[in-house]
Amino acid sequence: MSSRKKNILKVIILGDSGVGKTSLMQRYVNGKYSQQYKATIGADFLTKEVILEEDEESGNQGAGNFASATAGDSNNVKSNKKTATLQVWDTAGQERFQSLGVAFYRGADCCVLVYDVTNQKSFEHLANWRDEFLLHANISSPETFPFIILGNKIDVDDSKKQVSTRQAQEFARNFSADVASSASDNNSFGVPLFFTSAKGDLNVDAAFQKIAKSALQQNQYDMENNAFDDEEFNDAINIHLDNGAGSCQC
Amino acid sequence: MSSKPSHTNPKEAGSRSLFSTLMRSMSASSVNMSSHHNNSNANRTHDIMLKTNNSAAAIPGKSDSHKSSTSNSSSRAASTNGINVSTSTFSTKNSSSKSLLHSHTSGKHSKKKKYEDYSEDWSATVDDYSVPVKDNDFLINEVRSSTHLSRTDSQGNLAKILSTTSSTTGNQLPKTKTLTEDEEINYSLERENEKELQKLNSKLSKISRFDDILKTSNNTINLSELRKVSWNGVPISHRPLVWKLLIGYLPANKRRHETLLERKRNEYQMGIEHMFSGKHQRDQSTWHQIEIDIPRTNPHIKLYQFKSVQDSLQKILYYWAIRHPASGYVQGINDLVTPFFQTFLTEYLPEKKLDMVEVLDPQDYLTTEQFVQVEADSFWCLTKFLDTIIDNYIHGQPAILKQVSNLESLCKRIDVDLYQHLQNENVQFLQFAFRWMNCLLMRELPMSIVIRMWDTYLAETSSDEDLEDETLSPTMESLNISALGGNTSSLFESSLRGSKGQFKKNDLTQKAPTSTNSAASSSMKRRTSLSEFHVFVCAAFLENWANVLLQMDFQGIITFLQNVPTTTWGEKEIEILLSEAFMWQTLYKDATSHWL
Repeated sequence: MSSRKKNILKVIILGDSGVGKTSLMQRYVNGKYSQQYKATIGADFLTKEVILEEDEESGNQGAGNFASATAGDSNNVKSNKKTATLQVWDTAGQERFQSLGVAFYRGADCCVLVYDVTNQKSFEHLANWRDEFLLHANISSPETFPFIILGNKIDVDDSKKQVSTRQAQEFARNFSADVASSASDNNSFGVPLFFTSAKGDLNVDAAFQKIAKSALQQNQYDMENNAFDDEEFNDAINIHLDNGAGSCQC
Repeated sequence: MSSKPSHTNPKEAGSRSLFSTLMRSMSASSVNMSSHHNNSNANRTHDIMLKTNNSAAAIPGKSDSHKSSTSNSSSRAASTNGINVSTSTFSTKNSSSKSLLHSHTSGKHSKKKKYEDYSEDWSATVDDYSVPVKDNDFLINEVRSSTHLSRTDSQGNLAKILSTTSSTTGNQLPKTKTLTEDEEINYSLERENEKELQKLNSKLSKISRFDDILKTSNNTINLSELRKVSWNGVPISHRPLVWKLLIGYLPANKRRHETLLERKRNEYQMGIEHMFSGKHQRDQSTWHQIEIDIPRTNPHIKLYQFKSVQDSLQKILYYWAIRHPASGYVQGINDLVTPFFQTFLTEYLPEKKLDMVEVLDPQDYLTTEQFVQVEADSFWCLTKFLDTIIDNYIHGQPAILKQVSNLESLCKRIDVDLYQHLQNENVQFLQFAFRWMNCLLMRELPMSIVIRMWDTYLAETSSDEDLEDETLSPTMESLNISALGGNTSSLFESSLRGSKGQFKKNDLTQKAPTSTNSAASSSMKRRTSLSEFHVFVCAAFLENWANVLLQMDFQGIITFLQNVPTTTWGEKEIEILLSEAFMWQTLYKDATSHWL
């Protein structure tokens, strides 16, 4: 109950070792960048208070957002300010640590997948990270769970980039195709994609604003979903979000 | 002063403080132990008998009978005769009650709460334990100093301390409560000087003790002596050699040192040459992982920013990884190699520059040949070290998960309030303690403290015998441990004796009459496993912050435990921690043997 009032949002950051997960977190939470981070072991824990302006059209999470994600989301007329605490688990990238997943993934409201635009492998592994997460996180409806993809290190020279923008966009657009295939009559939807640089402070705030929003929606969706005793609500997301935002049942 | 039943239930609040009481006194005793080496009255003993009722300390059966892959756990479990009552005896030379006073002074600011606990519970519990006192002179000093100390306290505390002391000493205590103020002031000045002098003396005598052991005219170094003195810290000048001996890289027989080093260093160099020749197919993903971790290794220490050092560490780690395919390279191992590397560098530094090892580029003071020697020695010692904890790093990291769950059980027993609080706040031990195990607290403590801690770790876990047979594999060693497993009392005894060097033989003869040193060592190679002792250290570490943690919610707790404020820690803090860990290990050995 109390966690509902305080709006605690749990976010998991996943991705290969060295793609810049810790740097992104430090940039976002502490506004700084350093070359001196040690390799993360297990997972680091960071928190940040966020103020979210909830606009009317934000209900349908993810759909088509990947194209316009960098534009920012402040074009709403009716806004409803909300404060929340982001609790972010910045996880270790090495595969060996994946057995730890359960302890950190459970109860997540949003999952952030990070790759390094200069490292093709880190991009190819995104699907593995997604599957790993869904396997361990015990998500009630994987088809609608919010993922967000960050392509990091865009500050580096173009000649070093290995993952093209188009490649990434395509992946983001078809992201949930595998996941949703289990629910046959569900259309696949894309997930938001941001190109970021922790070093150059590019797009980091915008990305995390989106992350926080998606997490908040998921959080509220979960709450309402639980209230209705685990029925299928594939098309009902909007309804719940619209009246659920202001009125808590407690 | 109420007395409590001698067979106390560890789950009761009262006994919780009893344990912490004893813990305090033991902790401080080890800290001050070095100064007592000077004490000519070495025969004085002050024994504290402690009885724990083990039925209360039995582990609540975890329903998931998780089969541990550590080879020694199952056999130890089998050989522990379920629940029984055990008697533990601690014996220290003078120090246990004397150190009590030290802990009064030192603990006043930093650990006020614990100190209060201490003086209250001491008087409450000590009556129940037999405290033979054999030296009146010594006790007079005790009372004097406690009178002095209590001048700054309230009258109530004064009375408490005095009564505490008298309860400790019983009827044999001469009445000396009527010292005049002048006498007290003089005495306090004397004490100050004495302290300084003792400090210097103990440092010098420590060095000479190591000299005596290492530079013996005899060809064989007494390893068990070496282990005893090393437990309380190794002087920086002696550390390279001592570590190599404790870890079993060098044999006790000094005549073999030179040829062995030569052979090992050659072997390493040939391995490296092979690795970088065309014959070796490079494991790209391992190489890449190490490559990106090297610049992230101790980034705050200048030493690790030098290209020469980074290249060297990369070679060590990669070579280790391909020689250990079952685990391969796992992040955190890059941390574990650095204490060795840094320590072995000091071997080549002049005495005056020993402290500067963290800022000098080794290339400036080492020949190429010497550099390879440091590298090779680091590699072999890392190998020896990791052999004992390899299950931490194999797939699924079973030993780490086991240690975390052991830490949780231990916390439940040691401090049920803290445990309950963590439960209530939904804090999972894995969320903060995984790293503690994976990097052996190296991420939580400053490098100098880690190195000091490793003196004790290597002493505590080193083999009892010189491993003549170098081909003895790690699995063979662990089999030897499990073969012994059952004899808990000799395990217990040897850990007491080896670690503290204060073991008094008579105390355990009733329990384990056949446990002479040779008997114990012939039946086991390694006395304590590193993973086992480390869990107790972690428990002490966690407990150290209990008062702060109890005031925090989930977010606060996790944030705090991820950034534990240890930057100002010195040797004293780590030594208290290690002693607490040792105490707990001794107290809970029987109860925990089946889950460790």
